[in-house]
Amino acid sequence: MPSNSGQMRAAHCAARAIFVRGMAFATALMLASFALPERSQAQIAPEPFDISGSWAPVDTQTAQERGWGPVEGDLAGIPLSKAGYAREYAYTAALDSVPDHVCRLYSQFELAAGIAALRFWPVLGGPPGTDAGTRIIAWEEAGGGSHPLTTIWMNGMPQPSKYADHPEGGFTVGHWAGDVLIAETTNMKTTAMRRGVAYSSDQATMTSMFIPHDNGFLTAVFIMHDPAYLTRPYVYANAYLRSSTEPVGVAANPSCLPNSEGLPAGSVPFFLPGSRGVGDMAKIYHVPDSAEGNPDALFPAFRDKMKDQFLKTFHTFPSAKNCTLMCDSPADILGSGRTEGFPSP
Amino acid sequence: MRNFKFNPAARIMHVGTLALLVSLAALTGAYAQDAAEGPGAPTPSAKAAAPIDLTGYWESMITYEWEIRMLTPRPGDHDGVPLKPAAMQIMNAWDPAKDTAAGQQCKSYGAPLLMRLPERLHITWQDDQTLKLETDAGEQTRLFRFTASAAAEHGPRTWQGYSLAEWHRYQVGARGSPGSDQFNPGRTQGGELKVITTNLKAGYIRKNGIPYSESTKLLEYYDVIQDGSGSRLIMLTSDITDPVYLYYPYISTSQFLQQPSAAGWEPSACSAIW
Repeated sequence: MPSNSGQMRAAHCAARAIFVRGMAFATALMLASFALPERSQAQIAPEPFDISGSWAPVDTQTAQERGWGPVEGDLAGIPLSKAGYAREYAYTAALDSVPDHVCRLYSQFELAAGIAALRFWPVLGGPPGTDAGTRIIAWEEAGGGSHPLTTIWMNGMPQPSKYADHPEGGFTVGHWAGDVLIAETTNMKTTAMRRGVAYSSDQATMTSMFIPHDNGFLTAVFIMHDPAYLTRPYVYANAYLRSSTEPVGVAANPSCLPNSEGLPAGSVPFFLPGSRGVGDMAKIYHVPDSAEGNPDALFPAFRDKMKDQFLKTFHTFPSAKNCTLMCDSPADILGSGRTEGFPSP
Repeated sequence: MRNFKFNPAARIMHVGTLALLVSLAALTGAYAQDAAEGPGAPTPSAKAAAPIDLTGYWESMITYEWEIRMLTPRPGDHDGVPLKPAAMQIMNAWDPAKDTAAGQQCKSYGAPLLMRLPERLHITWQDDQTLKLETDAGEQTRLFRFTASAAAEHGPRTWQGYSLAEWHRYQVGARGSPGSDQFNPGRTQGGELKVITTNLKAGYIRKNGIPYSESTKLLEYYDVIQDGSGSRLIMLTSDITDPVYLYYPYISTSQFLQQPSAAGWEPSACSAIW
């Protein structure tokens, strides 16, 4: 018959072995938790990509269109509906001097079609308690100058009714898809899709995608959806470079204040149908009228319709040595902060 | 026969150990995918590892810079191109008839300009490590190699040069992002293609004779997006660095709309003027 002391010793040994194994697992678990810090610690919730800071625009693309502006009547590349086409052919840039219209230019889409830099910074928030101030509930997006500040709500805030107010800057909600920040803007005012040329309706909405790359690159894609004036989404994209030295200013609120631009009181400039005449696109580039605002003209097959006529007249262009249009020196396109990191000419 | 008796200390240890084991097993499971893709796992081929699908037919969709992309730019139009004086001289001397006579009509179909031409793309996997991009404009072929090739890198210069590619991946659902991928519905991963092209034969950066040199390096990022109407687009961001003819990089974006089939594919030979 085994003694009590023997039983006790055996039980003690068993318990000690179990304890040692348990401690070994606990140690392993602790080490594992050290190896996986971000997933278990309650800090400010990390974002897929840190977009905060200033981003300098690269103006080697669409320098003319985004810089000093497109030539009058340049509707090529915009997929206009019949209603949109009719509206733009009644439009004259002088209309933008009507006090009610002066600020129409400065909108979210002008960030795409203009030459503005971008700046983002986070808004911290969270429910009362331990999470307060530890989550990014929105990103503020500024474009400097007269562009309205855009708040990109990241906290699941519902979009307002389309009948709600359309404030300066619209209303924007956002989410991450991988490392890409996607923002949806609704309740926009009618705004320039191409400066001094084409305007959206107040039914338009806009999708912005901010796609980060390595080397400090950011591609911003702006997609305008307008059931009234477009036949398909109008896609525009610009590249930006992360900037450490050129902080983008934030516009006051309101960001644009209309003033008199010299139009006689009550004057509303417009073209009657058929009275607009030949635009600069035909004169300067020999672009046929059929290309203007034509959704088919976005695609290669449309070139077949232009080829013969264009080649017949190509020799009438001035030679390169006598170039007077779109032939500026590089220094003319070097703007402050726009070429940071590049060697000076 | 062993005599089992209730032992409170041992029971607590058993329960504690079991809890630890369950916790550890859960953690192990949660990170099993990470571990499987870790250093010890066999490297999947570039084709198998593709986080986005670029294959198929695509068509240029030109919504900006229309007049210099759909049409041959006016002579001397170098708006936005940071040209050095040496490049201006070449541009001013541009003569498409001379290029044609010299058999150099493909100078405007080299990789730095090719992707900005109005055209259709056909993208396929040539093999598990090589993505092939063909264009109907100029009937050009680009090879994106995921494995370095010294022979191609240092071989004779060509219009399309030597392109080394790599995938950049992100995990959808990780790090607080939503669980679905807008770009690739139904997929759990996303990313982009990065391509660096060198060993180029000198050509034109713009159809009207603006030159790039053999020292040019082309950096490209290929992303796939949806435009909100159900269409998929390739969004291409290009960065051309040429220390000979450019003061600083020439950066641009281009977009290609996915096509359901080869309809519209219209191969055409290189042209110096159109």
